[in-house]
Amino acid sequence: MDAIRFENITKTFGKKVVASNNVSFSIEKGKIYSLLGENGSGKTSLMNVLVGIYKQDSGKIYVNGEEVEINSPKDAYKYRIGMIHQHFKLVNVFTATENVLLGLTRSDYKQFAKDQEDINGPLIQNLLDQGASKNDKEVKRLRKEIKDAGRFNIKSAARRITAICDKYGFQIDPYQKVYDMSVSQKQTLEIVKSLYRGTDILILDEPTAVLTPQETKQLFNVLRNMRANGKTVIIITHKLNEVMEISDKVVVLRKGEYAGEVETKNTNEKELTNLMVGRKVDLQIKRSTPKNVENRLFINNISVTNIDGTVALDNASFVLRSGEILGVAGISGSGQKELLEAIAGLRRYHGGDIIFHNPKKEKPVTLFHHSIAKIKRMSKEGFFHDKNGNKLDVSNTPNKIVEEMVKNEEIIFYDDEIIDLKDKKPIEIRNLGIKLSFVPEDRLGMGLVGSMDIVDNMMLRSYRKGKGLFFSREKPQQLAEEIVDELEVVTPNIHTKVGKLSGGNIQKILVGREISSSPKVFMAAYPVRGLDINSSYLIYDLLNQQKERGTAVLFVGEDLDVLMALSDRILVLSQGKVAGIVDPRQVSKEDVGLLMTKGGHNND
Amino acid sequence: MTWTLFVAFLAKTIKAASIYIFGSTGEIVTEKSGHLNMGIPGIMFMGALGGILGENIWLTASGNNLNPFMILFMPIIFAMLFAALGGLLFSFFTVTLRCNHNVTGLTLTTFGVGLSSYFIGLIKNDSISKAGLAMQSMVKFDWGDNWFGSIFLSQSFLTYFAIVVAIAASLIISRTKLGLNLRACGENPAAADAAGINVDRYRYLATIIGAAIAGLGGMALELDLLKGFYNAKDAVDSFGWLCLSLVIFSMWKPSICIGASFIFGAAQQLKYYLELSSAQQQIFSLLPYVLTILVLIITSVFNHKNTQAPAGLGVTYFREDR
Amino acid sequence: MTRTETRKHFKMPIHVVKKLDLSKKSYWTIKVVGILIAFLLSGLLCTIFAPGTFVTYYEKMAYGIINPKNYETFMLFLETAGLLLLIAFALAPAFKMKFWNIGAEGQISIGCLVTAGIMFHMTKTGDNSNQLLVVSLCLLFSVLAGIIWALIPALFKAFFNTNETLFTLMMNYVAITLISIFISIWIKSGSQAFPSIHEGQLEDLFGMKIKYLWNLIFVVVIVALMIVYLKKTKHGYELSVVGASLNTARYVGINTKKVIIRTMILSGAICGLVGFLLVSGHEHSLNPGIANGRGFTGVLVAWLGQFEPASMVLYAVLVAMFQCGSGKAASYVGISRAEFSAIVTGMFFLIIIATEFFINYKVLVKEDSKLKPVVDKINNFFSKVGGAISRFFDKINFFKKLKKKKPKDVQQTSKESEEDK
Repeated sequence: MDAIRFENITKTFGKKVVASNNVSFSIEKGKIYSLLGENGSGKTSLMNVLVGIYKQDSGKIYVNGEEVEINSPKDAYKYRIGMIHQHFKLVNVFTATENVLLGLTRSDYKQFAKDQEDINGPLIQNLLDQGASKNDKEVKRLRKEIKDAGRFNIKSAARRITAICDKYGFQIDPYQKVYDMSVSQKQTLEIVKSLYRGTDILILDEPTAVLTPQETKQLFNVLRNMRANGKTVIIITHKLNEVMEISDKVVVLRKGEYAGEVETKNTNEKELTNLMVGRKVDLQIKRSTPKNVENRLFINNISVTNIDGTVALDNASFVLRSGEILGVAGISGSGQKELLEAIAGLRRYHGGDIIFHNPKKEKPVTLFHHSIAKIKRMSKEGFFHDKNGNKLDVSNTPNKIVEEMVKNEEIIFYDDEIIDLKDKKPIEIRNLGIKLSFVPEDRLGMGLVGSMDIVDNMMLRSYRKGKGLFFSREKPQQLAEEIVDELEVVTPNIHTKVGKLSGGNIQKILVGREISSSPKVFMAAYPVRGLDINSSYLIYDLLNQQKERGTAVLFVGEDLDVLMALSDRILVLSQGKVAGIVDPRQVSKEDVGLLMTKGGHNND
Repeated sequence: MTWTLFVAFLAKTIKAASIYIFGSTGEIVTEKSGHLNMGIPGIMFMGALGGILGENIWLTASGNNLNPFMILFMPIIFAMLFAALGGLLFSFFTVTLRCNHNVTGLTLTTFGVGLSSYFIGLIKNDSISKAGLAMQSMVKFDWGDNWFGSIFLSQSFLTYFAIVVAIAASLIISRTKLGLNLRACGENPAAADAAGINVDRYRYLATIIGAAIAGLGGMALELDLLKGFYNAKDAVDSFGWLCLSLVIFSMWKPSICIGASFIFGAAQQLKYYLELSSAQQQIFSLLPYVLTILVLIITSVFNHKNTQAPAGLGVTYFREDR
Repeated sequence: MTRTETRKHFKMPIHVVKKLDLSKKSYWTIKVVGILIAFLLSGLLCTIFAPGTFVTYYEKMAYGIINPKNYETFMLFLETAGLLLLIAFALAPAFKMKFWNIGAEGQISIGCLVTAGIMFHMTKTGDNSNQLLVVSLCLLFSVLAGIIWALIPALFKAFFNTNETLFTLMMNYVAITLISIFISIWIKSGSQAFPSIHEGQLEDLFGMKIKYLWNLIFVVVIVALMIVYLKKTKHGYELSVVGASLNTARYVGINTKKVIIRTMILSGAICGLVGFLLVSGHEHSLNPGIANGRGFTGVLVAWLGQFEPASMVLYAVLVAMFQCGSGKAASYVGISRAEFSAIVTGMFFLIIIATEFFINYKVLVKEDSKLKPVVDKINNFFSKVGGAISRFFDKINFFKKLKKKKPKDVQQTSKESEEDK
């Protein structure tokens, strides 16, 4: 019998976004399923419908052959369906046991008592049969265990948790506080929480995204144990290697629709990729030949560690070149965010450094980029020559004279300028005169302020300009008008709060602002996420424009087709490591896809 | 200070502490659910009004019958009822109408203090002191001869009741299913919601029950400590707000709050028993606030997870915000 | 194996959703309806306490604000509103930064203490020095005192993330108690009554003998400066970015610690100044309750006005109306004055707080619910009232300015934003 059957499930958001379109398929009992699909293919939405977080617009859900209506996570528990979300729902200051006991109802406890009686009953009977008296210590203890299981009792619950852990091979200390736990421990706890309530069908949303390879292995062992115990497991993923490793069957979703179902043992990664991506779409994104390519930014062996101690970026090295788009491919959470934030000076990194390379050779120094003190220091170190080509040392010259010399363009660089950006904050990078623009992934949470109007958002980058206490709204206003006109931003006026605009228009404003400073380095993280086709193409055009005017462009994307069509080189990140840098003109999409999942294999 | 005076001081300290215990226990119960109710001075005042009314209603209706049960029962029920109304008002605004906690709390203080002192003002002074005296008559223990009896056994019923309530609250919060769910609402309402806990219902109930307990503090202050000699300014300043600071001082644990209340009570009473200049007396009033600030600083500097305010304190919860 | 749970849950017949787009017109309509209700209820309340005084109440209330025979009544009303406004403006930058400074009461009190101390000692020594010098000294030191009082919690917030709501709350009582201590020190007789001090009275400055005039001048100047600070300066801009999103502030390289400390210095300075005005320009005396809840009321005005100058002015004036007007009215109709004013003010705030809900949320009633007709009726009534008010707005062209710019393509925008969700 099928554990779950979806029949024509459709779920839309608003009028245009179709998360699930007429999806029908079945999940067999006692198997591990992978729900495979690209980002935005509707995997999570479909599962959220199953556990009552979303309500489907139309279609039916059957659990064990019976049609059911699920309106809340509580209803889902009733049908013994549990889901582990990507963001854990745990109370930090509670112990593992306390978190597990949260919100349990009387009928839950009744069930626990019954479960315990099923175990202890025969034992007691056995003891009595062997001639033990009713007041025997062991008999009393077993009786008390049944009683304790049926009521709120931390010790009894901890025992039950330990029993579950033993059964499935978890390792968890029932008395450990959640704030002392690692991410993988928290995930384990979520699974235990679900099992404790008696879950038969467990859904895990991208469970390995936050795990190390070793932890992933452990998790997979647990999942196999669960299968051995008759449970059904569904993991939502887009990592092919994991699909091949763990699942019995794979259901593939593509753009909200059911794309197919295969037995894992009868398939290979290539076939799955084809199912996932579908027929090759001709995207017709233009790509000009790079001109005047120069090395601009050297990223040397940098690593980023998260607060919880996991390594987000592992020894990454590459060169960013001007006049070229470097695409960054990788499954989400492979270190893209950390890489960009490290370059922007927003995140501390260790190991190596980031060097900005500025072709200054034979160009005069300007006060715009360097303070007098810095010029003096640099001249002592032999950076400059005078008009006649002789070495210049102004370190003991009075400031006024130095200033005069700079104005007369008498101090000239011997060589290209090389600036070490290590440990520089964003403002310091800016003060060094390095124009570095960054379109972050989280537009309203980081790049823009939703509660401010377009003009005020334009000012975010430029409000410090000019001396004195006051800022001027004149130029930002001009800029806002320009951007609204040129990028065809749909807005009532330039004094509309940015948060009220649609995603595409918000992105146009952010990209427009970042481009407006004519940057030397331009970084964009998922700039077309959630955008319609037209807005997406506008963004691609803007990226191309930047490339053509000699900017070094770093483009993090999730759609491989776009990355392949737009980038001049593709850097593939896998689990925080640079898995390779390839030329999209020479490799196939499948090659890149394999590189994306390579990290996992290498670590085995 | 002579020995007899010292014994009297300790006895009075315990009595004063009972008010702090009621007030801060009530507020802890409320804050554990995530509600920062700064209307507690107003609510204590409403409790005081309820207590006076309840006692007067009984005395008038029964013709000054000093039936011990009714003498206690009527003011307690009325005080809890009136204060619970304040709690209901607060939760209606913060849960149903999703208003800002600080703003609602401060308004509730203005409103509650104004309303209660207006109505208390309507009641004749001698009726109030009569109610106070009736309450005093409840001290039946006659152990006054030795120091132990004077300090611990000749307290009024309310004092013992305060300690019982605090211990009960402590046990319920830390040991029971109810307490666990309550704490979850205060720490992480989204997680509680996901686990099937009705966050709104918990917050409503915790606030109303907390207010009712705090209301008893107001009543105890009015009828027990001040013996019906009413002084609005004194009541709000030295008790209402101090109950709020006690919550911080005891790091949101009712068990600690019992002990801490004795310290606060001593600081409040000591000035009457020492031969101090007026300025020195006032310095003792300063002590609780300064101690509270120190605790606040120390807990934040060391940042130990177990001594912090509930993580969701003062944040209105709206499921669709997720 | 399916466990069945038979207990049926009570299903709420209503569902609350966020209002995403509210026009300025409906915003003000809701506010005005709230204010009207508050006015109506205060009259009803008066009738309950003193039967048959419904009309008298409003009449006397007006007298409490403007008394043709005594200009001082009106000055007092203006000054009450002005000081409240000043406090609200002191708090607005902190609140905008999401720093919940509810320590205005203490910052004012400490300013009062310092001013009174200087004035008292100048009077005692009989040093008939320059009036201007005394006043300047008072001004300087009260501002300094206010700054210190605000800076302590700010530093701990910036460096240790100490809870500022509770910290500033406690600082209030430390300041208030300090006043008691110093009164005891200064007044040797042991009485807590502080004499009226002559030296350093603000009214005497430059021979301007009009009561409260100097205070009003200060209010107007500082409020004007604060509006400019919040709207036009880099500092004002930075603090709104910090308040809106810490991540964005980081992204553009704003030093958030510096902004927190700088803003609280400003906040404390103005509160200290209010303390100075209160003693030097109003009370000429000192008592522990001298701030008289103004700090807390200021919190409410700033928050309810959502840090928008126009709204804050409106609320400050309304609160002052209730405080001055209803207090006077109450004593005329024989109700105890301070308490009635507290009740009415409290009620006014509760109603205004409740209107916030209708501004931010929409209540949807399920079609099959019994509540539906009732709610519909209420809705109808209020939309009629609202319609009348908005027609009034149209008549006086209140929103003419806003309409000048023709919306480009509003419909399309709203459609797209739906899709984005």
